[in-house]
Amino acid sequence: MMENILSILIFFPLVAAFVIFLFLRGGKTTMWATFIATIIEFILTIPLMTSFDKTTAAMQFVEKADWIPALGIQYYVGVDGISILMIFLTTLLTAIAVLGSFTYIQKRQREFYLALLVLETGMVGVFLALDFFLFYIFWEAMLIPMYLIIGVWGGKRRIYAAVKFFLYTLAGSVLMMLAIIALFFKHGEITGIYTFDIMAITAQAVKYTAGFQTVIFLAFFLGFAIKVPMFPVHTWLPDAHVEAPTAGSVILAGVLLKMGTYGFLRFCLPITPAASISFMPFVAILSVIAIVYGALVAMVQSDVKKLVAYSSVSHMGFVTLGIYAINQAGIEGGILQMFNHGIITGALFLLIGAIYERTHTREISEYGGIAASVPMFATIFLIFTMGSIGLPGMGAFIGEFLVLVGAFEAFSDYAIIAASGVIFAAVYMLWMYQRVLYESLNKRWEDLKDMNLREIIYIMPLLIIVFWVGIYPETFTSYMHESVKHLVEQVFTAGVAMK
Amino acid sequence: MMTPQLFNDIITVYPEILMTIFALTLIVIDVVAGDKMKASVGYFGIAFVALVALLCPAGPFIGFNNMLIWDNFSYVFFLIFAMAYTLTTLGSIEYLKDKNMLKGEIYIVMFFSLIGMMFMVSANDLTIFYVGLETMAISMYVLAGFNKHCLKSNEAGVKYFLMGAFSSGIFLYGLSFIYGLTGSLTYTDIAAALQGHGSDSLGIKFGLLLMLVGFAFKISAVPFHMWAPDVYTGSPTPIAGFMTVAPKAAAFGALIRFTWVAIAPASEQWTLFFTILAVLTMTYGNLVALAQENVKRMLAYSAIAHAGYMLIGLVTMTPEGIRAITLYMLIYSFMNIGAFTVISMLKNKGMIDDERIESFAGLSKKNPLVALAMLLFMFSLAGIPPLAGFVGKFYIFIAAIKAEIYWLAIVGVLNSALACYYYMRVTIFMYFKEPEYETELTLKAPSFIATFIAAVLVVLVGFFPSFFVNLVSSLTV
Repeated sequence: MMENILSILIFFPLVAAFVIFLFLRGGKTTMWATFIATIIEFILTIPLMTSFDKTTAAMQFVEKADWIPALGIQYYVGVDGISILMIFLTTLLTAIAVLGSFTYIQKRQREFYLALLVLETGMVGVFLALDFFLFYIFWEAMLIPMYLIIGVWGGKRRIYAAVKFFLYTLAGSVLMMLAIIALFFKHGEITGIYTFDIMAITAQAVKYTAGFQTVIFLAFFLGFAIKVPMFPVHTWLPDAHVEAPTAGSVILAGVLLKMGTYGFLRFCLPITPAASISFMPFVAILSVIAIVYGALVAMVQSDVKKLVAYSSVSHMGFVTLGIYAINQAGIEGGILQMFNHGIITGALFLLIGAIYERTHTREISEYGGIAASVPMFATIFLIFTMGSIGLPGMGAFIGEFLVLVGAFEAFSDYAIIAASGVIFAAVYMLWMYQRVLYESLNKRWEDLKDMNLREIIYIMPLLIIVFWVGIYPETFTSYMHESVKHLVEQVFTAGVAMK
Repeated sequence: MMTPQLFNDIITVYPEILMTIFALTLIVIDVVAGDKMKASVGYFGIAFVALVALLCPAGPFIGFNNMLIWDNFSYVFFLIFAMAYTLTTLGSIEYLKDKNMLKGEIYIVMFFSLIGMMFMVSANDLTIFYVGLETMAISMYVLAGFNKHCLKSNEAGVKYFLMGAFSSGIFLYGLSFIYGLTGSLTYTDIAAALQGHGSDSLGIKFGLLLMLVGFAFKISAVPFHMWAPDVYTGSPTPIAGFMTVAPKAAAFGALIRFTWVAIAPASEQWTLFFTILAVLTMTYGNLVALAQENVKRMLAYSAIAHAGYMLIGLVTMTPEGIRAITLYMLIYSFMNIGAFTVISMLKNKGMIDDERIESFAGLSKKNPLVALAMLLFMFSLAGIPPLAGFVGKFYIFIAAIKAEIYWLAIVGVLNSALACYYYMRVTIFMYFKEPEYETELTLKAPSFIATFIAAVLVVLVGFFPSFFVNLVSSLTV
């Protein structure tokens, strides 16, 4: 089984969706079946994590088969230290998102869970694909289920948000498609072998001219920057987050945003090293703007969900800053921060969803003092608020610390400004916490119910991981040491050879 | 005794002969079939095209003094026509029954139009091409106006006829210049003459321009598209689906052969012409489609935009370009007819009045399977992976980048991003909005099968394009 574990991981949710579609009826049945399927999918990632060889940067569990031989397109998947944590994050968050939707989704449950399963196949596929065509297929195929999830089960302005999300992502990715085709021909010209094999195309990176690299870099960068999202193409994110149902927000923040930064790591850096090096300051400036701007905008939000959405813009700024520091600490911090952000923001969205189900409002001003009636919720929410701020002992602290170390080495000025983002984060998160949970109790919420068992169950794994990363990050960073080292070498040898 | 020459001639025209025999047989079947059994004419038609597809000889054969060719290129285009015929016939039976128009003629006329199309694509001579063109066109005029009691349909028929005749006239006028100056109507001879005399003569340029304008009318390229939206909107819905696919495919097939064989020496001039047309067609088609409230009209403009994408393949002047167009056409045939079939199944008030896009509201609740099929067609037309439409677009862009026409590829992808919005609008109504009208849907076996085949192909070709790709992978003209 281990030799094709990756294919199983990719296609299990799709097959499960198909089986459920054909043989099971009724919303509740589908719900439970989907939950079981996503749990199995998560359990399948555990042997992958344990038997992963941490001492090599090479792709592991590789599977390769011809798919469209006429164009050199293969079914080619593999996992390395950069993608493995993302797979873990994806399968974990999907299972949790399903559990988190049990009572939230009331209408058309069947379609909702089927869409989630199809979405999971797309997400896992994106992180595992090593063929450009395959990657692009998964990348775009995710759009349709996500579009439906936002559009059908979302809030009041869901249609606007769904369309905006779809068009933004699509607009970015069509140019990426052209860049992929251009790489295909460039690689063919150099080696005589026409293929979409990402590893092969990466291996020739030294031979791409600086001008060509710049064009390819920009095309990729636009597509990924929209997904991250980086300033100034972030405007779809608050809309999509606010309107999406809880599960949608969790997956959007937890997994989909990571695809942009994953794209930087997998494509921009190794394939266009010279361009990446010359664009380092440019990306750093954008990242710093995102950090500060996202935090400032988050501060003035009146809607809790929107506040967390803008905080994502700010936090993802740290990730891109770390990645484009192009050194061991920065990139490791970036990847770890991707992971942490997925866990913490996912948890925050789940908690907001849980309280929204009880109060049907997300306006900060309508809350007040509810800590008295929901002590358990208040405690857990406080933990994740602190986690989001980056309190030492919790995951985000390690991630941000590494990012800042890396960034300081590469560009100290920006690192200093970026560090201020941590303070801003404390301001908006604590202020929000205070207004929602403390102050005088709003009479409406006197007999608010505290978290139930199901909610505690789905928040528990996230709680454990947040502290785990904070206290012993080596469990997670040990996966990436070799891959990141290799990546940094790759960029610098290729980049220096160009000059 | 049959001389080898005669044998060769006959085998070259054999598929068309077979089709003609079958067409005549269909007339007999129509006479024999009772009033309630008219659908059987359509079913026989399907069986006949399938039979011809199986019995076609493998080419290439060149006969009649180089005037007619039967090769793989002709064969693949025949498959496109056959697919269009099959899906349209299946999809149309219930619709026509509902409107009280189910007559055998419709399938017979459509069948005859296929013969015309086959001649267009197989022609290696302008006379043959013109005869094929008129056979196809006259059948189409009849089909457009088939709904005798509907003013819009009459208008469509007359408009199509007038514009068609007008464009044929322009084409013939241009042809007369070419004939006069090159001394021949056979593609290869024209090419030789152009090679010898050069294509700089003003007469030849003028003649070519007129002929290409004639072609541009047939593929409804902007600015020669003005007939298309009205005709597609006015025609009976399933027929409109057929008209957006088959005649366009035939015109493209013929255009490819004509440009690549006959006027290849003058490629500098005509690639410029078609580059301009491609940009205009894509952009205009998409922009206007954005503003449409009538679904059929929206798909009409989308059909115009798709012609624009295909023109990108034409101007690459590489074999990949031809293959990309053929593959695109093949894929376009089932996804577009699939969409038209779904439209023809809907019959609520909004649809009957003016085919408003709101008629789709709430369809996903009333009939999730049909809504899902329509969703697939829409996203496939938009070119979203992993659906078939993406494969077609991907090949077009590969051809463009291979030929190093980057800017045209960029215009193309930006257009396809733009186009996404109006296809999404249909899904917005189906999935996100509450029904505005009591949704009524005729879902009977034939139209269900047509939708099912098209939907399955849209998904299957998206995931496993190899079969289709291999079909076109060695095509040349």
